[in-house]
Amino acid sequence: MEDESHNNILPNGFNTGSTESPCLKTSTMTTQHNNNNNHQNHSNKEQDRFLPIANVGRIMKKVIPPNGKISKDAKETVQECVSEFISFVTGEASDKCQREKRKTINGDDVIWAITTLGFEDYVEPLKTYLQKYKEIEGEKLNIPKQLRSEQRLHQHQQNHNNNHDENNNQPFNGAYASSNLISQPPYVPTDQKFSLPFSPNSIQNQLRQQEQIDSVGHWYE
Amino acid sequence: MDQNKQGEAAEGGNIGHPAHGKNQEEQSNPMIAPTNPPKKKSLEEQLNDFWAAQREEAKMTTNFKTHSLPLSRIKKIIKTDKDVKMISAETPVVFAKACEMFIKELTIRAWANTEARKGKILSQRDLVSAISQTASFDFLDDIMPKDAGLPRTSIASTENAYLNMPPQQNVAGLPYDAPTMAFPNLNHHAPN
Repeated sequence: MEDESHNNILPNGFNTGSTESPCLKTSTMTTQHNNNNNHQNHSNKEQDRFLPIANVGRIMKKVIPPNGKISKDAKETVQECVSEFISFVTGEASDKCQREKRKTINGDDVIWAITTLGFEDYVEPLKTYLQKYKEIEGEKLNIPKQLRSEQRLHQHQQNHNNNHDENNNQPFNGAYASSNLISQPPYVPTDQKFSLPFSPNSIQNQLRQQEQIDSVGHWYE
Repeated sequence: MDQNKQGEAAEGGNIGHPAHGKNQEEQSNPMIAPTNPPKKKSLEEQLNDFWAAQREEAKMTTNFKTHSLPLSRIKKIIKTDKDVKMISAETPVVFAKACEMFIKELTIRAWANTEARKGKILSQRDLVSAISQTASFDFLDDIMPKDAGLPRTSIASTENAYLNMPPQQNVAGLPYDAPTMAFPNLNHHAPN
């Protein structure tokens, strides 16, 4: 079943043939046993048209008393009724998709069609069933779920699955700037004369500077 | 039709019983006399129990890999509709559940008819009667075989249907009396 689901998602169609060999084998045996028919083509056609009579019979027996029996013609009639039921619902769901210009029939379309066609009692169990299916399948198949989500988003359909939050493991780029500057000591004059501003020697030095300035002024004149 | 509608209204109003009660009721059904009013009430109770059980069963489902019906076959039947282009993975899963409930509902209604004629084997005519008595099954009228011994006009009426089913018809594998069959496939099955 899981492989089948996987195959069904990628091509977005069901051109892929059946992958349930065991079921088909059982169906073949059942059909041959019931029909006692040597025409393989006819048997194959019968298989394709109806659900296996063994499966149908088992389901019928679940709802009748233990001592009750079911005739072969009754099982065959129910086989035909079920195929008609599938076609009936499919037609309604397909029409809805065409009106809404969508290409893919999904579970909600089927449930809508069943509601429209008068099977109200079926709706609540089916909605619960579909919700459960989405939850479980979403947990099991992570990658196909993403594809499914994309399909739904593309089809403008609300996604009921709980989206798993993705953690962004981006590398932390912290810039580390180290300062190699070395603090230099303040400038300390080595000339002792400047350390004594009011000393006579200091005054004489100032006078000399003034003379130099006057000399420069005279030069300009 | 009116009877069906009233029945549906009654179903909607009633509260379903637990599945255990349903089983007991089923076992006691053969003891009930074949009269119309009790039979209808009994059938309604069975269906109410059935739908309540279906709602509970859907909640407890955890394994979606095992289905009572093969998904590949369901897909092929869906594909017979040429207008269908693509289906999602969940579509056959929903159909499998819907078909299972459909088969069970149809069988419950048919078995009520089996009991009404005091039969022990559910036969095709019981299905034909059940289908004619249920509005939501109208879409099946076209594929149902027309039995010469059971005219369609009589099928439309529950009471007449019962009148046309005397107890001596309690025989397994009734042969097809009608020379013409509405559904060719059944005609082929007849010789087998």
